[in-house]
Amino acid sequence: MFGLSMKSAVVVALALSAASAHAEDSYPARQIDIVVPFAPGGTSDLSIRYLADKWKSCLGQPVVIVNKPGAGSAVGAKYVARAKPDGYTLLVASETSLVTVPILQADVGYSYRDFTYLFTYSKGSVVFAARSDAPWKTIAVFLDAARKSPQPMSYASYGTGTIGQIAMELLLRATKTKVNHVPFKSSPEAGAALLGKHVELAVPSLIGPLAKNPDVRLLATSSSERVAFAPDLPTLKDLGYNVSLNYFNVLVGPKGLPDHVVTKILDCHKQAYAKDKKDIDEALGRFELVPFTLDGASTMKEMGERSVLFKEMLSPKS
Amino acid sequence: MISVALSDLVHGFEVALQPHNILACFIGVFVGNLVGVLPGMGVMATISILLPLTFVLPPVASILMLAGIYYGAQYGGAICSILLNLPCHPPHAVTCLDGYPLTLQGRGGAALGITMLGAFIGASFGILQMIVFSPLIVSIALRFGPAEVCALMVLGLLAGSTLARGSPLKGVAMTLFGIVLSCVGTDMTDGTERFTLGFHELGDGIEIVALALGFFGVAEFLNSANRVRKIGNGRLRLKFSEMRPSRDDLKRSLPAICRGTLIGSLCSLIPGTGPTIASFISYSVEKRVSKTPERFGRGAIEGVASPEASTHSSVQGDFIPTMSLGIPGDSVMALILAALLIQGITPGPLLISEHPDVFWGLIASFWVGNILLVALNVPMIGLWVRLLSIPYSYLYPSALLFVCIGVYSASNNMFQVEVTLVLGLVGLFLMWLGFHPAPMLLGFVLGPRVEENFRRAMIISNGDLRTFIDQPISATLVALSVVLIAVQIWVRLRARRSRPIAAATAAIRHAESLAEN
Repeated sequence: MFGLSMKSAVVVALALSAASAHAEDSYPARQIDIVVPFAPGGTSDLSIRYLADKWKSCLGQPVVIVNKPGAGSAVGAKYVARAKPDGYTLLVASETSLVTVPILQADVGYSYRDFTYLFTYSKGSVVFAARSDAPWKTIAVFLDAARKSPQPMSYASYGTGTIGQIAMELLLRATKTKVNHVPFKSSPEAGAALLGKHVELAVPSLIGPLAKNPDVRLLATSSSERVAFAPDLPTLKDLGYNVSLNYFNVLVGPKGLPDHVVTKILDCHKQAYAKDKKDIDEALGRFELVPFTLDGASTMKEMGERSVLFKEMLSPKS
Repeated sequence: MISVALSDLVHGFEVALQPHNILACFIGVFVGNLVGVLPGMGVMATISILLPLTFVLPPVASILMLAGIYYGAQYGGAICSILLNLPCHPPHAVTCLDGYPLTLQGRGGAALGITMLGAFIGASFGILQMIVFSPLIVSIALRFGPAEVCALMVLGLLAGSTLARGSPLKGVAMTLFGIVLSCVGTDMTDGTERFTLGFHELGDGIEIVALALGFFGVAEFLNSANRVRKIGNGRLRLKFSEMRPSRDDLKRSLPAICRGTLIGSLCSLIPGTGPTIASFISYSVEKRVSKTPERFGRGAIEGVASPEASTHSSVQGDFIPTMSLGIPGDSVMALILAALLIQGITPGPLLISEHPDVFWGLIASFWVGNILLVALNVPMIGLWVRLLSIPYSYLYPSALLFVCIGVYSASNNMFQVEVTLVLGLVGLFLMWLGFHPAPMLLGFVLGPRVEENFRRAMIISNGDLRTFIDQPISATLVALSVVLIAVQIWVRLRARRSRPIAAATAAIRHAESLAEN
């Protein structure tokens, strides 16, 4: 009796381990959905489409990009946070979905802790732009003019809670300057407000069309080091300010994602990178992203720190 | 300078007429046209589905194709509005006002013919404007900052709120209702959610597709569900002459088309306005300049011609700020901009000199595409009209199915479909009370623009309201709004005063005629 049950227990245990080994071997057994919580065409959408295509041969299953825009990315993020942690539903996230949205929408129903972090695959930055005919040719002159101006000056960002606003507010706090924040809905709109002389400075996320516009002068990037797609652009650190801010493009899944899923996709990413490093770097550069890999645990820690910092920056000032 | 532009344009045609580019353009306009006809299938959704395809296409071909979808959809969009009273695309909502009554009178074919004519004239003018005035126009457009845009939108709201048939008070009420609905969503400055009733899906506000299709499509369906009937004259065989606009139609429409075209091209230049506003404004202008405004809403052909021409010239003009400044007028343009960036082409002031083949090829392809669209659509008018001979009990439910698919595809979300159905019920209720949904759609589109630009203007001016009258552009627009209100009041007062006089005159005449007999 005892022997039999012992035997069956062994059999069951063996079968279980075989099954789990089988699951590990066979992942992915079907198509993987990667949710982009924005409409198509943005940098996170374009970059993940490009990368997913490179992972396909290694994964052996199709990777489908699903756009679930809405509520400033909350709809897509919540969808993934509540999905089954089986590795078939993943999310491309950044500070916007992971940190800013839970701060601005208190009842959103998830926080940055509700995800398993696979890895960060790139980082981006914002740029500080002025008109070429403006008297300020550098950040220092601008800040000085803003402090002396009898009427507060204004800057245009691409939205409330964006990295553009937070980077600018960090700079203003570090230099004890007050400049009004005027939120627009996109970087090009913020650029247009600058060109039309409606604001004194713009902080768009994309350099894109502005870089080639003779009426625009780019003053600095918020990036921690110089960016390959605009090597002449100084960082704020180069200019003597102790401020830098990058946003991360992170692949995450629902909380409790098995390790073998994380390992498999990370391996495929590494493999693709080893094979096509030059192409991938160039493509990311075209989307104005800097190739940058950070493991999941460090990324999560980073998001925790940002959660504290952003909450401070976005809280209404007394 | 014109001769340089002409030789560049010839080069553009050389690019656009290469077989693979013609093919790309044809695929674009064909898909666009199809998407335009299907209720609810959005241009945005279609372009985003096809966006990955452009990774492998050459730059010129991919941009010609995506652009073709954008303006091709506008040709199809009018068809449902006129024949089924279903505005598949918001700019064509205003076309329903007179297009559908025309269909009920059995003149849907003529309305479609005029639409094609207006579309082609409007689009051609938009293209010409892009060739000749691009740089000049852009510098004017940039002068429209928050204060100017806000003043313009207020003027648009005032001009448009009384456009529907019936009581002006109901029109104003519906405009205000539209503005109230537009308040649903995330506050632009501090990110708090407003009126979302706990639904995070409403954080970006109500989808305009859901609103338009709910109020027009679903409400109309529910309203006539128990009264199965055929639309139009019900005859299967239509004579060609019935489909062709009459000489009188043409005489009425041509000036309307010209006015609509001009309004559309002006609207396209200001970033963030777009074709919806253009078509609403041109309809209200048309009603105001008309000697017989009482015909509007009962099947006035001008009420179809002008907004359609306006939409098309605005759609073509939309490419100007996108191409020459890198500033997209709406979200679809932003996608096309992204497609160019993927190809390593940066739109902006230097685009024409750096990538002449893209810029001039695109312009030339606009004409190629528009000619293709007219060639595709004119022979089809008969077929579309015959669509109405399908029994109502099959036609409308299937249209409703496409509405649901379209709304779902806009954001891959069932929630929006539910929103559409709920709004349909609200729309039905308002329809019973005699409220027309068109002014509500205008309020919904313009309301948020007024609000966000007003707040931006206030932040920039540190809360000083004088910012609206300090600058010439906004001061002029504010003055026009004041004049508009004053004229409305004056007209009403005069009508009230002259009514007893008119009644008295009629009584005297009547007495005289009695005396003569």
